[in-house]
Amino acid sequence: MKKVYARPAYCMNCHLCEVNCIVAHSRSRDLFRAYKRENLRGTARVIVEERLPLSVAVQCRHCDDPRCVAGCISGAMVKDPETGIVYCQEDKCVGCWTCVAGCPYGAIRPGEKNGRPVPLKCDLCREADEPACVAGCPNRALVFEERRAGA
Amino acid sequence: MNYVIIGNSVAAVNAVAGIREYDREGSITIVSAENYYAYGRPLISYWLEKRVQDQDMPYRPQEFYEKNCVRVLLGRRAVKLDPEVRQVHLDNGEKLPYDRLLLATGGRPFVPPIAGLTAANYFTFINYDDVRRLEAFAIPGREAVILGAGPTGLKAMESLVQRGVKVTLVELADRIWAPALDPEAGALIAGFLQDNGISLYLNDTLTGIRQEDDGHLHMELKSGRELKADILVIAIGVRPNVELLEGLPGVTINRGVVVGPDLSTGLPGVYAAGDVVDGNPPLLPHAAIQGKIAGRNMAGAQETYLPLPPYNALGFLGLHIISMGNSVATGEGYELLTEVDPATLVYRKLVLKDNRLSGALLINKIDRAGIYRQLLEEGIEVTSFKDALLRPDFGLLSLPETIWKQKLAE
Repeated sequence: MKKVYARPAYCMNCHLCEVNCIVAHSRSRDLFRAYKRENLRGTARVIVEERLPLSVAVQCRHCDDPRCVAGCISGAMVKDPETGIVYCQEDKCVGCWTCVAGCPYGAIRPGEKNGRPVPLKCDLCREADEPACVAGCPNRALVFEERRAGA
Repeated sequence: MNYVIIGNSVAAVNAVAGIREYDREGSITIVSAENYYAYGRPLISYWLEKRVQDQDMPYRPQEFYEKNCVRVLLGRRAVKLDPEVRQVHLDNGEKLPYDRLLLATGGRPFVPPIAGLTAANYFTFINYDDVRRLEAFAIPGREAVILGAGPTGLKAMESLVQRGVKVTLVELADRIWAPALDPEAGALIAGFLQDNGISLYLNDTLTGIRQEDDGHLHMELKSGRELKADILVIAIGVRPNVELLEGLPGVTINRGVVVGPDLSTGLPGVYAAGDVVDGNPPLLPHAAIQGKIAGRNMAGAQETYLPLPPYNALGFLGLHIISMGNSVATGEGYELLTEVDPATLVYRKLVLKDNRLSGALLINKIDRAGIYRQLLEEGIEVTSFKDALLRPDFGLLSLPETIWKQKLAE
């Protein structure tokens, strides 16, 4: 399947992937409104880690046998059998955070939206052609491509 | 190929998925003692406090069974297994032939002998019917005693408190959730519970109960203390449902059924997964992973289940705990890394043995917990990045370059 791959040598630590991720997962799809009205600051589903001068964006690897799916107590977290995308049906999530304990990459963070729990994890912007983090990366430090066979 | 699965919870549903990865054609029959399609068992406490409604209980959508061509027999019990002719006998007299059988019967609550205890004066807290029955009793102003302050007792406590019931926890050990919490963490959480109006009696247990004429329960504890309440919930653990295999030659039963690395039981074509398996911690991720692998192997794969250390996430009343591995270890042979802030109820402890993670306990600061779990399960030596383990910015980049590069390429 196509996944987002990080190329740390090209990452300039601008954190635009985080910003674009937040906007893409906002209701308004607008940066100003996402931050100032929807209060979504800090809810990125991609994490830019820094060991300066090194930086790299970390996000869900959409595992073949995802621990987050295996551990989900409500059946909210699923792997789409067609696309291979691992995503959370957020209205089913109860916020137990077994997924947080399960993810080998630490790529799921406990979050909250309107008083409801939201696991902050990458869904590859599954309704768009290309994930927002990749589309907005100014130096192609994130690429969206198929690197191996299988979903 | 003809598959029969006894049980219809997480292990069973994942076994269906595992079978279908290899065999689209074979017939699958699920025998479900409960009258419900699979639901997330831990959701019962959320249901009781109305955070989850009936329609959100199913673990998989209804189409799951149709899509995977699964016949589900609801409200049916398997009463006998005849491995000679490969048949399961049901409680209605029906006999189901099988080529491959999965025992995913789970466990049932352990209820100790207590003077005066009758089926009518206590609740267990493990299935949907338990909370449906409890719902009518759990009304504001009532009082409940919960025997057992482990994960089940604590979730029962949370849901009853949210319904306005006053809760007293009685725990035989010297602290809450003793297999996962060390004394310091136990004390921290005991304080949190008391601040939330919950009474807690440790080193104590129930020795007698009687129901008075007005319906109130009168309980006596080992310490001599007496408690009055309207509701008693018993939550001191589960016992594997192994009856179907008892006495059959070729099967070993300890606490649960002993399985080989491929999750087979020793009887031809018979596998087991989930809480019924001996030595398996009764935890949902473990049941799901075992179910998937058992299903694949039943359909011809040759996959090995490597026993996973326990890991668990538990939240109640806004507090969140993640524990993994040997999270209570102290003393000789262990190195402990800790961060404690009682004011914010933050407690983070990593247990190292021979410079490898052996356990972790994280309270109220659980970000990136899965990286610890992975280090623990893979037995990775942490010497070179030990100092970074509890730093606020700990992440993949804290690990050796060869490791994080490989992880990001997965």
